[in-house]
Order: sequence, then structure tokens, then C-alpha cells
Amino acid sequence: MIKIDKYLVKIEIDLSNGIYKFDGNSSTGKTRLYKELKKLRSFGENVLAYSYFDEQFGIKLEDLLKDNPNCQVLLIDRYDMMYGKYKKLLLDYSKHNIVIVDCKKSTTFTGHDGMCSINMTPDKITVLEM
Amino acid sequence: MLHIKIDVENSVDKSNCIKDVEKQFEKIVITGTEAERQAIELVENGKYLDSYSYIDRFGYKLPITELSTGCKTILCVLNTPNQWIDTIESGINAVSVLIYM
Repeated sequence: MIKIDKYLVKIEIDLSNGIYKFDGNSSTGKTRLYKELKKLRSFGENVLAYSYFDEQFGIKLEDLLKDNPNCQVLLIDRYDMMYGKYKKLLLDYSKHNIVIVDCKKSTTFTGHDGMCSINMTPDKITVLEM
Repeated sequence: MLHIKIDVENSVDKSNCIKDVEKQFEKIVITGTEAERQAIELVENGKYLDSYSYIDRFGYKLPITELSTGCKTILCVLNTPNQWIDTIESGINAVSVLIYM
């Protein structure tokens, strides 16, 4: 369980190490969680978030993960736009970290990927295993 | 009329298919048509306010750019006629709204 509750928006992620995909709905708070984790990272929290936007900016996921081998959680937003890239990288990283992927295609990482749901209120975002 | 193609890889000229909905959304202006308002209500549980903002499900005023990619996909379909829009980033709920609108 990851609980970060000292900031305006509280984050709770009740998952174990492994790779998880969000359920396939829009407007559930995934990108909001991405933005919050980015902000928390800048505050010194040991979390990571990466999106297609970052890829377009030239930020390399390989370098990000290499520089941060152990973090509480890694969130990948807009993975569908990455067209299957980084699969092995994410799988390897998920052996010792929580990896959550926003992926609406039927891409599979392990053949039995975990699924998770996200709930948000104005001041809290919660991620639970389904 | 809504045209739907499945298996885009083989059936649509890729040069005429918009894949990056977030980028395309920045090029359109929504004006509050009935269909646009419906998309925001059904996908976001929100309310259209003007071309630059909407009221989210919690009652907060947010920039229109904060809409979900799924909702933006619908709005792009409504405002980009004669071009295919890839729904790759749309959730099941957004695609359902798009088809049944």
C-alpha cells in the first residue's frame, strides 16, 4: 500500500509489485493521477510517471528507469500511443516495483496482467486491484 | 453520418487518419452544440461552459483541455469531418457514447 497524504490531493495505491492495467474506461482520473505523481516527484516523493507527452519531449523511459531503479510506483499514461514499445523494460521493472499502465488496447504484458480501478474525489485518488 | 472502420491497420489510409487526438483537439474550437454538450455530460458527467472551459463532475470550472482523451475523441469526430479519427485511446464508455449519440 502506498499512501501519500501530506499534500492537498491524497494518493492511495493499494497494489503489490507487478504490472497492472486500468479498466478500459475514459474519464476516470488516470491523467490526473499522472499529473499528481509528476508533481509529487518534483516535491521529492519516490514516485514516477511517464506519458506519451514525455516521449514526444524526448525524455527516454529507459534512462528514467535506470536512474530510478526503485520507486514506490511507476505510472505509464497514454501507453496506446507507444504502440507496444518498452514491454520488456516495464516487465523487468515490475518485478520489484508497482507498474500501472493506461492501455485500452488488448496489449498483454505477462498474459495474466493485473487489473486495477481508479477512483477520484476532489482531494483523493485511490487505485485498487480488481 | 458516422462512419466506422474496424481494423484500421488494413482498411484506412494512414495518412488520412488522425491518431493523436490530444494534438488534434488543440486545433478545433467547440462551440457548445447539442452533440458537444451531450458528449461532455455523458463521458465526463460535466457541463459545457464555453469554448475554453467546462464544469467537471465535482462542480469545478476546468479548462477544456482537461477533458479526457475519450471525450476529446468524440469532440474531434464532431468537428473534423472528412477525416478518420483513431479511437485507440478512447475507453469503452466513450466509444459507446460516440456510437449511440
